[in-house]
Formats: sequence, C-alpha cells, structure tokens
Amino acid sequence: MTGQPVPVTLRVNGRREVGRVEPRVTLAEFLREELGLTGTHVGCEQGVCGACTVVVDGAAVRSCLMFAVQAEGCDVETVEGLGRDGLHPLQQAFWDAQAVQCGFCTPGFLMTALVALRERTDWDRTALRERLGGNLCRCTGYEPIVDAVLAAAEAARNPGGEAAR
Amino acid sequence: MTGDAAAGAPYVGRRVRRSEDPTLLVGRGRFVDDVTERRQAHVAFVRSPIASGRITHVDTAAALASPEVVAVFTAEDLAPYCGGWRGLLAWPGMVAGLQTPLAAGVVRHVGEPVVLVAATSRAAAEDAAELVVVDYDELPPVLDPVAALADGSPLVHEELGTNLCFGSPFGSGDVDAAFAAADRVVEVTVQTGRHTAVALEMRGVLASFDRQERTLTVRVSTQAPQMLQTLYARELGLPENSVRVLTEHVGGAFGMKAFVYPDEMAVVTAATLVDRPLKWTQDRYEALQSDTQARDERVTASLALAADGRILGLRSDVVSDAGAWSMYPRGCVTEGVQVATIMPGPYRVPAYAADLRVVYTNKTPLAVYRAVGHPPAILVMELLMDEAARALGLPADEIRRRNLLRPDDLPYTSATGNVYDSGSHLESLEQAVVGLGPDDLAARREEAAGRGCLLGVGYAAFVELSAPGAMFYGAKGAPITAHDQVEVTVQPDGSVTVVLGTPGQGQGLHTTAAQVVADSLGVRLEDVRVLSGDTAVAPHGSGVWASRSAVVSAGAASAAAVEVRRRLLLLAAHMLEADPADLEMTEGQVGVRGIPSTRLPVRDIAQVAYWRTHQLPPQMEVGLGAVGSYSGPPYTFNNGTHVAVVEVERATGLVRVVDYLVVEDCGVLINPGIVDGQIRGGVTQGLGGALLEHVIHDEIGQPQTSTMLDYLVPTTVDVPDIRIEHIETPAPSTSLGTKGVGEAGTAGAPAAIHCAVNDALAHGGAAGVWRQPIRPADVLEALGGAATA
Repeated sequence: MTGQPVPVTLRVNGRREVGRVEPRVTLAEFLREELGLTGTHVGCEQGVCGACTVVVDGAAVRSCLMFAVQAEGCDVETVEGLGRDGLHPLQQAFWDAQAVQCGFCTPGFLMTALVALRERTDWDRTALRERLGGNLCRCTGYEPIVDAVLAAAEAARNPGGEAAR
Repeated sequence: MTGDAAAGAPYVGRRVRRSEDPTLLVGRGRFVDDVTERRQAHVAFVRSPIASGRITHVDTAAALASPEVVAVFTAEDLAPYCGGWRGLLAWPGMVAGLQTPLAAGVVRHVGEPVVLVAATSRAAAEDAAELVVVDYDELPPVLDPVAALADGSPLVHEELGTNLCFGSPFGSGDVDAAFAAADRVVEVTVQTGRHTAVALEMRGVLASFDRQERTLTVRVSTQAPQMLQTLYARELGLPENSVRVLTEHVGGAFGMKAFVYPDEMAVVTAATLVDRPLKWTQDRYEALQSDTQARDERVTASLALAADGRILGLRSDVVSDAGAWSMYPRGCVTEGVQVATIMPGPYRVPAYAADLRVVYTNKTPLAVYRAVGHPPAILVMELLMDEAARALGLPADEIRRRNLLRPDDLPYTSATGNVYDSGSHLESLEQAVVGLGPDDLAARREEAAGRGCLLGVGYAAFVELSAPGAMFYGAKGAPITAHDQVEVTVQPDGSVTVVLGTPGQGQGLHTTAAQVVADSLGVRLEDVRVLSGDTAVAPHGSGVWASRSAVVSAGAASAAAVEVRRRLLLLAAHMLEADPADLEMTEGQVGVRGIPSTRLPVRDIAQVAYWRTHQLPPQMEVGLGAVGSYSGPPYTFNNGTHVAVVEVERATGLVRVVDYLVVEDCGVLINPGIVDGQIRGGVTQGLGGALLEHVIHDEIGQPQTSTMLDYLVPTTVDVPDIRIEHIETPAPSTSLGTKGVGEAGTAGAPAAIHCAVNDALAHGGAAGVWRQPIRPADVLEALGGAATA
C-alpha cells in the first residue's frame, strides 16, 4: 500500500521547493501539508469540484488528481502566488463583483480564470461560462464570478480604461 | 461598485464590498483542515457497508498492531464516556431512537460510523481502517416510507415498535364543506428528490483535550458553535466554561452543519481519551453518505375552487422520508411540518386540512436544508394553481391574481396559524408579470419551436418564514433559540471592534454588521473590524439558520452600537459641557447641533474614556464596550414572485432555464449586493433540486450517488443570469425592518421551474411531469405519452 518516500523538486510560485513524499501523496496534499500552502482547497478528491485547481507548467490542473512526484521539475502556481504585492487584478475583480461567499471554491476559480485570461482576453459570456464549467460553486450562482472574470478581461484589454481602475 | 457615496451617507442600503473577501481571495482562509496542531493524529472511520444489519463481531487487532495507529475505538469503548442522545423535540407523539457516536450493535444506513481509527497520518488511518473486520447479519432494509407504515414491515428501530416518527394533522376551517361547495377540484401527486447540501468544504473536526485543566477545544465546521459547546459539555459531563468551540471560515453549510453528528462526536469523545489532538476531515464519499439529506417528500394535494377561480379549500397528505435517525438536536420533522404548514403560502385559503407522517427508513438521516420544507410546499401549491388555471381556462397569472393576498387583507393569519404582518404579495406578482414582458411570449414560443424546443413559463408566488423565534426548537426542548448577542467596543484610538455571537458561513455577516454599527456610531466603515468564531470570548449566539441573521444578528449589533453611542454622547456631553440631547454624531465626530466649532472626534472621547478617566467625575460610567442582544419576533415572512422561462428540447428531453426573474421583498436591504448573492445562490440550489440533484438508493439501500459525478449540482452552464428586482416593505416587527432572505431563492425556484416545464409540455400537448428532479427521461416520457395519445 505504502511506498518509500522519494525526493521531489519543483518550483512553487517561483521558489524552488524540495520535499520527500510517499508516491501516493497528491500534489494537493504536498502543497497543503508539506509546504503549508492551504489556499489550495480539497473539495472532493474525485476531480469534479475544481476547488484544488492549480497551474502546472501553464495549464490549469486538479491537484487532487496529480501525484506530487508527477510534478517533479514542474513550475507550479497556487493562489498564494497571485498578487503578492496587493491583490491581483483578478482577485480585485472578484472582490468588486462580490464573487465570493464562503470562499472555499474561490482559489480554484481564480487559477482556472488566470489560465483562461492568459489564453485570451476577448471571452464572450457564453464561452466563458463553458470554460469555467469545471469549477463548482455552491454559494454564488456563478453570475458574479462570470462578471468578475469578464471585468478582469476587460481591464487586461484596456489597461488604462474604466474597468482597470 | 464599491458603494461610494457622499461622505456621511448611511452605509445601510449600500452595496459595499465585503470585508471578508481579501483574506479568502489570497488563500489565507482558515477552514478546519487548514489548521494543524502539533502531534495531531488523524481519524478515519469504518462505516457500515449495508443499509440494515446486526453487528455480530468486530476485530480490531490487526489495526491496533499497525505501528502508526494511535488508537482504535468501538461503540463499547466510547459508551462509558458518551451515552448518546435522542433527537427528540416536544412534538406530541414523536419518537426517536437512542443514537450513539458509533453504531452500537445495529447499523441502520450505509455510511453509519462503526469504528474510529486514529493514526499518525490520514493515509495510515485509512490503511488501518481497512484492517478492521466487522461481521454483520444483514436484515431486510426499510426503504419505502409508505410501505414502512404497513403492518409487518421490518422496523428501523425495534425499540420504538413503529417506523412512524411523527404524525399530525394541521390546518383549520371546514374543508369538507369547502370541497362540497366547489365548482372545480384539482389534484396533484408529487414526489421530490432526496437532496443533500454538498457544502464544498466537507465537515471536519480538530479536537484536543487538556487532561490537567480538563478543557476541551474543538475546531469544527459548523453553523452553531454555542449549540455545540452546550451539547459537547452535556454529553461529556464537562462544565460549559471548559469547552471552547472555534469556527473561523466555514465553507458552506446550508442547514447541514447545524447538528451533532455521530462521527464528529466520536472524534471529540476520543480526543478526551488520547493524549494528542485528533483531526478528522471528511471525504466526499463520506459526505454523500453521512451528511444530512433533505426533501424526499411524497405529497398528494387537492384544491377546491369556485367557478371564478377563488380558492375555497385545500387538502394535503404529506409523507416525509426521515431516513434512519432524527438528527440531534433539530430533529427530522421540521421539513415535513413546513411542507404541511407553509403550503397555503401567499394565497387566501379559508380552509385547509393537512395530514403529515414522518417515517423512518434505512437511509442517511433527513434534516433541515436551505428553505426547509418550503420548496415542496410551494411546488405543490403552484402546481395546483396551474392545474386550476388549466381547468378553468384562466391564464396562470390571472388565477394567482384572484387569490393572492392584497394590502387590505394584512395582517393575515393563514389557515395554519402563520401571521403575515406585511408584504407585497400581489404587487410582486404584478411586477413579475411586467418584468417577464408577456407581450412577446408568443414570438418567443415560435422562435423556440423553430429550434425544436417547447418554451414554457412558470410562476411561483411565495412566502418564506424567516428569523423564527423559539417555536421550532427552543420551546420544544433543544438548545436552539431566537436570540443573538453582539459586542461592540470603541477602542482608545476610536477604531471599533465588533464581536458577533454568530459567525457566518459565507453570508457576509461581518460586512453587514459593520454597516449597521458604522451608521449607528457615525464612523467610517473601514474603522470597524468584525470578529467571530471563538466561543471562549464571543458573546452568545444561536447560530446561522432560517434566514435569521439580517434580523437577529444585525439587530443585536445595532442594539450594542446604540448603547455604545449613548455612552459616547454622555462622555462628550461632559467634555463639551452640553446636554446629551443637543448632541449629534456624524463622520466620526460629536458636536452640539448647529454649532460647528464644537466638533469632538470619537477618538478624543475614547482617549478620555480609557486613558484619561481622571478627567471624569468619579461616578461616571467609563468604558466604551457593550453587549447588545436581540430576540426576534416569533418570525417574519419575506415574500416574492419568481418567473422561470425554460426551453424543453423535444429530441432529448433536456430542460434549459433561459430566463429567470426574481421579485423579492425582504424588507430593508442592508447590503443589496449581499442580498442578491443570497437570492442567486438560493435560486441555483433550487434549480439543482428541480432538474439535477437526487440521492439515489438501489433496492437494497445502497447509495448510487457517492461521487460528485453521480450527485449533480448546477454548474456555470446550467444556471442563467438571474434578474433580481426588489420591493422594500419594512418589517414592522423587527428592529431594522429587515426580514431575512437567505433561503428565499431556494424556496421559490423549484416551483417556478417545474411550472415552466409543465407549461412547455402543455404547449406540446403533453401532460406534466410530477416528480423532481425532472430528468430528460421524464420529459421524453411525457412527450411520448402525448405522441401516442
């Protein structure tokens, strides 16, 4: 059942991290338990809810479905890496739009949206809803989350415009 | 967006950003599993794999032999320390079995905890749990609540001698005469799906016990920390001042986290027996098998009508599937009672007779979930209204218009004794009709038909009971009551600390309390910091439930702030040598009305109150902190009308909600953004109930929905943007005029969506669907019936 701990080296939020983990330890567990980065939340461990979404080498990934050892050599971004000098524009947009209620799903949504906005900033509402469809929220009814991501996209398109303020 | 307004304008009524959010947005929330104690051991449970059976043998030796295992406990091990409880309330004739932290001798549903294993890691605990051997004699499970009432049915609880938990009539008036005089009678039989809350943060406990001090500290994901403090103390024989319950962030609850769960109680009890903290974090399989479930009502109801569409009388027969236990301490009957008693809703129903039976079965316990009983009640009533409209050839809005309460009917006492003291019952319908834009409906139906879809419109006019007093629980013996307390303190520098008795689970209660307090003290919102979540220092509260916090918690915050303001003005009067009655307080300053030169900053008054008390007369009251309390009225009722527009795809049976309008009247709005968030989230859960959510058991009681791929909750693509309009009829009975709104969206949505689907089917010549969730197969079956008719 168990395996001997093996070394793992990866970059998390730009910083090199070294750990020894059993092969069965998920990336989510490694981030939370070994590194103390508890902003990555575990909502189902079944790959469905999206709360544990982090960015691995640029892709939005469910950290509950990936073993830490699979992230060997990878560049991992978590919610703690956003906006270390004040709120990231996405976080600010979520705040402005009241897109947070209990906040448990929020980090996962932020990381999914981060990748979506790196891909493009001209999302229309329907396509963005599809894109965010793998993240579940039980509180907000989603509309303010969609509003927030669209506002952040608008701000990214027009850095000096109204939405960027 | 940020609620900017003229300086000095009240904060109440403004959509200010939530103070809770920055911490959560940067990933620094502290949910139970985010907190680690040194030397904490992790708990895993061995749970029942069968719905009903006797435990014949438990062998824990192999688990205990594992070097990583800290302790293993069975029911017998914990029995001397926690004797268990009965989820009884003083409803006449209600019966409930004795529940213990771990199943004692008998298992009554899949997922019931049987053995607790604690080890040095969660993985080790789960490994060791697999080494525990439990033998069962399987018994035939009780799964159908109607069959469960027949003579000779197996019994869920042998000791009770019956599967009937509670049965009662409700209502008033001469129903037989009403039906005898009716021109038309319509009847519906509906079954609603079994739901569960699916809070994204699963339940969890981190418990530690100091054997020398005999103090217990429990960090737990709950809606009611003081209730748990009382019950932990009671169950474990500890004084309440030795029990501390911590709740920082809670990732959703929706009624489901308002109980003493056996697994949580097992962890807490075990923590008093081992010399290290114990942590248990639920996984989703456990959640879908052990979190309280809801709805699952079978209702047959009929409506007696005059030829002009006036309601003469209503009958209903309600069977509520309680599952295996009446959960402690709220019990399992509130859902059924509210199905029966809320059903007349916002309509003039002169005579009503309901018959309720709440029945034990071998399923996960049924209990309160957002909007408790309202969704089935409103669903049944609105389906009856639409059937009546079809029978009488009236439009759906017109039959409602002829029966909704009008302003001159108020205050109105319903046939079940509920008093509606204010509201906009008819007005909300009229506003919804205007908002829907009925003029282009025919064109929209035609356009949808071109795409192979049937378009349907559904109305749900409703009332929602909110902020209840002690009637449901406190007066029936449970430690759950109507009050809340809040402490407000002006610090020496003029900043303000507010400590809530009741913490929230995402509702933004810190923000709304800050708005109320800032207005009362005339200070800036950013000068107010709100804390909650530690029963060792917070004042008492009854928890978050039943849409009560905007009335009760905010009311207590206001009461505390008014007292602190009184003290500030007394001090200022002394410092300014003025009469307190002549003083005014604005923008963080106190001055004599009409004399601008007398402005005294609150901070200067606070300095004197704390550090320069020698400047005050010796008899003067010093200190600027006060605990305010608020006990609500017996209840309030918000009201409103929902309109759903759906498209039913003929080829697939898929239902899409394409437009949704809510006209809501919850009295005074403290923060419209937060209110809208409650409504939107509520409608979304109601949509889930109407179309998606269903706990399914097979014929031997095995749950078939143990993952989130099987139990479907709405996603971004299932939920439309929701239009929300407000009518503000202040509550005459509450201190702030608020009525509470947390559940209103969930109350109305299943009915509006269901009525819209049946309207669409009617336009396709098909009969309706009479169950929830409405699956594509149900729609296709209805359409197929139409094709072959």
